[in-house]
This record gives sequence, structure tokens and C-alpha cells, in this order.
Amino acid sequence: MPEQSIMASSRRRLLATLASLPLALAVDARAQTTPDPQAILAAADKIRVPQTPFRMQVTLTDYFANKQQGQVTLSVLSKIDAATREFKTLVKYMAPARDLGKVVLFNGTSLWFFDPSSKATVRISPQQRLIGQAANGDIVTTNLSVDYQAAMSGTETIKGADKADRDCWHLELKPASTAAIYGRIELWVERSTSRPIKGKFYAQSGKLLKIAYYNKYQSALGADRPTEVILIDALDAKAATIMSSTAYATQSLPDTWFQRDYLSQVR
Amino acid sequence: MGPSFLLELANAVNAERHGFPNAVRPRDWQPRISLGLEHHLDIASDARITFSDRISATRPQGDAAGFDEVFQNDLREAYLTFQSSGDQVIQAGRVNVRNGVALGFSPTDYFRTGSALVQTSADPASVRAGRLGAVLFSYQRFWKGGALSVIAAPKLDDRPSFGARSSGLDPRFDFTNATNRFLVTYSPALGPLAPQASLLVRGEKLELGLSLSLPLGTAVVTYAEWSGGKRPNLVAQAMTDATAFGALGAEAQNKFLNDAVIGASWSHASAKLTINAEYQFHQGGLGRRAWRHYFDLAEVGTPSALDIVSRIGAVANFEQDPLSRRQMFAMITRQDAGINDLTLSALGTVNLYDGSVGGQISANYARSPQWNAGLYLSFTEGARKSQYGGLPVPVSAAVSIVRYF
Repeated sequence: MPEQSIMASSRRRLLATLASLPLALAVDARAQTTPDPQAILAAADKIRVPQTPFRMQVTLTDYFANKQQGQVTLSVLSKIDAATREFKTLVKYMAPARDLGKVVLFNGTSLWFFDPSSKATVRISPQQRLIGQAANGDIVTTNLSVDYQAAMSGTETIKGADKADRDCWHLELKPASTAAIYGRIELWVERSTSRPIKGKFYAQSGKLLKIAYYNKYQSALGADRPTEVILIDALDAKAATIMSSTAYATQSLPDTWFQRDYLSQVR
Repeated sequence: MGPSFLLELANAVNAERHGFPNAVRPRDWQPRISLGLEHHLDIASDARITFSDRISATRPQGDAAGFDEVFQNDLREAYLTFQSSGDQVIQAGRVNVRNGVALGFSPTDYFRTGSALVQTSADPASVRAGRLGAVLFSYQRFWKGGALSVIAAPKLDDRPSFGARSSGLDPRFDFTNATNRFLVTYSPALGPLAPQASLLVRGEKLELGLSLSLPLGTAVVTYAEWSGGKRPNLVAQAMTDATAFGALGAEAQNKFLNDAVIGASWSHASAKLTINAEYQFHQGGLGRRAWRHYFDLAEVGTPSALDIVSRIGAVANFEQDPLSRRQMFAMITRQDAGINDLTLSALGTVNLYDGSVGGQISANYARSPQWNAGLYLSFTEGARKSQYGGLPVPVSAAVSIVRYF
């Protein structure tokens, strides 16, 4: 090949390389600015629930066709197990009178229910219902980043419960432990604040079970947290349950409290 | 928080199965009104008094209608709890202690003897709800790796004679504390199996017990429970005159007997459905040959023969034990069944020797936090010479209205 041709060829290769450089740099930049989906999920967990031992009051209100059907008030005590990073949770019924004193325990490996009238402590499954659309697995505090593996589906602008547009990361969650009660979760997390905005929860079969909206963010125990979660039945949109969280407080919670034999002593 | 009250109005109507002219059957209708009270009073930061009582008025069995014939007070619990620290609890008084993980029959539920009260629902949880506690002293110790419980329940009175009925203000210590009992329970934190081991000394006899449970996925919980020790079987407990018991008397035994339950529950979240099933083995109960002798005795029809037949049932009921050696129990519950706040349940026990069934279908409507209305239909079905088919009441219906305060 004549020398000019070689040089021309080299110049063309150099130009092609230089031309592609901004694209390569742009690709690298994008890879560096897209955060790790697991880190996004962990950040959303820290917004959703306090990471230090705490107490709060949760009111579950059941609605059908916008009419209130029933209401249960719970006292929730929760702390993270340092070894597993799973939450251990005690839930005590405070109202109505017929349910007063009932206790649910989730200690990371199992779910127990104590009935003060029969003094029975029985093991129950996460799928058993408390009230309305809230199954036991919804009431107990969980770190989704421990139970699920997150993958990035992209970014999306969606409307929150307050109808405002939210620029969100769209995460796809698959079970990563036996503690995961859903077969799949889609979660939308606001990009600027790491706040969870919306969730879709699927059964192992792939069927959509419920849709959750995280709403009414208020300051509690060091962060703005969703004090209202709206759960809508995916099979019947008229059926919904609202979980309202209030009275957050830090509380010392001994590990000895989180076992089946202690449930009759929970105050 | 102040005391909680409930007021229950209940009425049961019993049909009659023909062909049992000599059988003792419940009255054709049985109204009851009950007022229940439960209160927890914190008397110090580490001490609490618990009180649970129920007084009922029922239709008298005979013509007499004095206080004792009409009213019955059930002092269910009255005890002091002292919690010196987060890991030690002491209780003293009348306490309803419930061990075990099974639903229908719980072999390690050692304080069930003599505790049963009249309830409208046959749901095992309702049967155990508000039952009579035993007078005892209890010490519990908790640590991260588990819990230990030591209970001493003294003998306060002799066991009631067969057919004895309580009434009025009788606290029935003869029902709940007719034997010295000492129970040690150990619940180690050993992963998902959640074992609980028991050692019971009842009088001079020793019994051992073990319960295990294991979740499978998010919808199923399995469990198993066992208890074993040397004790008299049902016939031996009921027998007074071996001659009168005839061939059935030969079934009396006093040896190492086993009780065991294997069961599972399955829940479906969106259907709001829970199904429970248990296989129950009570070695001290009537086996195939004993059942044959039992019905031969019932066929004799004389008052003394029927007295023996009644006595065996009464002993099983007092001990809260199955009558049969082998049986299956199943229960299905559906919440919000077509109507919000309506819970439908159906439960049944099948005698595995004769295939007879005893069960109950119920509907409970909790339209408001203060009110609950329940309708219960109990039935027995089977051949004439079968456990449930041989009962004089084939169907009974009951309604219950409860107001919570």
C-alpha cells in the first residue's frame, strides 16, 4: 500500500477514534451516575422505617367503595437484628376491644400469634390476614434490601398518592431470602429524595396482589417518613386499606422480648 | 387501660335422634346470658394484677330455680405478675396456662384438665378462650437463646365425683387442682423448628413432651406435638366396678401411653382463606376393639350400662382428651366471605375407626367494633353404632350476640 494510503488510513482510524470518544465518555459518565439499584433500595428502606429500635402506633382502616368497614389500632415495636439485618417486630392490638391484647411476633425466622383469651401462641404464615388488604407480612417491619434483590428497570415519572408528578427510579425486586413474602415487587423510588412512592406486589404465581402508595411524608425520628401507606386490592379496586403511622418514639427493646414465650408478657 | 366487658346472649336448640329412648340428652333449648370481665391493673412499675371472670345465667336443669341452679360464676383468672427485670417473670394465683402448638388436640397442654367452660362455638380457640385457670406459682426466665418456665400447681381438693356439676360461686378448685403438678418447659431458640420440651410430674407420675413447628414457604405452617408417660387410659380412669364393665373392663390399662398430633395450616392471602388439618393419636382412648365393647354395653341399655357409657364420655370431656384413639380434625375459615366482616367457618372431627363425624358450621358477623353476632350449626353423623352417630342429638343450632365494652 502506498505511504499516503497508509497515513490516510491511520488518520481515518484516528478520526474515528476521536469521533467516538465523546460517546465513550458519555457512556462512562452514565455508568458512573446510575446508582446501584440495591443501594437505592437500601436508601428507601432507611426512609420507610427507622433503623434504630423504635415504637410507633399504626392504625389500619379498611375501606370498600370509599366507605369505612373496620379499623384496628396497633402498637408496633421494632428493631434490627445486628446479625441478619432483618427486623424483629412485636405488634400488639390496642383496639377494637374484641382484639385487645393480641400480639404478633416476627423474629426474622418465624411469625407467631398470641391470643390473650385462649393464651394460645400459634405459629402463623405471612399470608394470613389481619384486616383488609394488610397481610401479616405487611404489618411487620421489613428491610426490603435484605429480603429482595433489586434490578434497575429505568426511570419513570409517575403520580404519587397526592397526584403530584414524581421523577422515580423504577426498581424490579426478586426474592433473595426465604423471608420474602412476595414473588416479585415493583418499586418506584423518587430520584431526588430516595422516598418510596409506589409499589406493586405480586404473588409467587406472578399475579398482582396489591398496589401500595406511600404518602404523607412527615418528620419522624430523624427523617421524613411515609406516615400513610394506601394498599389497594389489585383484584377489586374498591377494596383498600390505609395504614397510618403515628407516635414514633425511640425505645430500648431487649432481644429477650422477641420470642414466643414472652408474648403473654408484652404490655 | 380500664377493664373490658362483654355481654353474651346465647340460645341453643337441640333436635332429637330417634331410637335412643334411654339416652341422656341436653334439653331441647338452652338459653344463656353471660357477663364477662377482664382487667389488668398495674399496681407498680413491675407488678400487675390480672382478673378475668364470667357469670352466666342459664335455664335450670330441674324445677328448682335458686341462685345455684340459675347462676354460675367462672373465676377464670386472678393472679399477680411480678417482673423484676425484662428477663424474669413471676406469677402467682389462678392462671390459664396454655402450652402446645396444635389446634384441635394439644398433648402438651397439660393444664387443660377440668378447665372447660360452656362455650357456644366449637372452634378450639374459643373452647380454650376464657377457660378456668389452675392455681399455681410460675417462674419464667428469658434470654436471647430461649426461655425456661417452672410451674408448681398444688392439689387443693379431691377430684369431683362423676356427674358432679358446679354452680353458684363455686371456684371449682376440685376441677383444676385435684392433683399436685410440677411442670418445666424449655424453649430454645434453635432456628426455624422452634422446639419446646416439657417435663411434667403429675402426682407421682412423670410425662415428657415435645412440640415442633416449621413454616414451608409463605403460606404453610406444619407442626407436630407429642407427650408420653405412664398413666391410666380412659377406661381405667372411668372404671369403678370391673364386673360391671364386662369385656370393656379388660381394655383398662395403666402403662406408658403416647399422645401425638401432626398437622398443618395453609393460608391464601387474597382469598382470605385458612385451612387446618390434624391427625390426632390418643393412645389412652378407645381403639377398635374397645369401641366394639363400648357399643355392646350401650346396647344392653340398662341404667348401670348407660351409666358406664356416660362415665367414659364424661372422663374424656373432663380431661379434654379425644374419646377415640385415632381421629382426624379439619377446619376451614374464610374472612369477608361475600360480605365484609362476615367470617364463615366449618370444622369437623372424624373417628377413623367408624367414619362418623362431629362438626360445626358457623357464621360470625362483626359489623362494628362493639358487636358480634354468631350463628352455629352443630351436627353429628354416622352409623348408629358409631361415636357421633350414636349421640342422641343429630343437629343443634345456636345463636350468640356479643357486645364488647
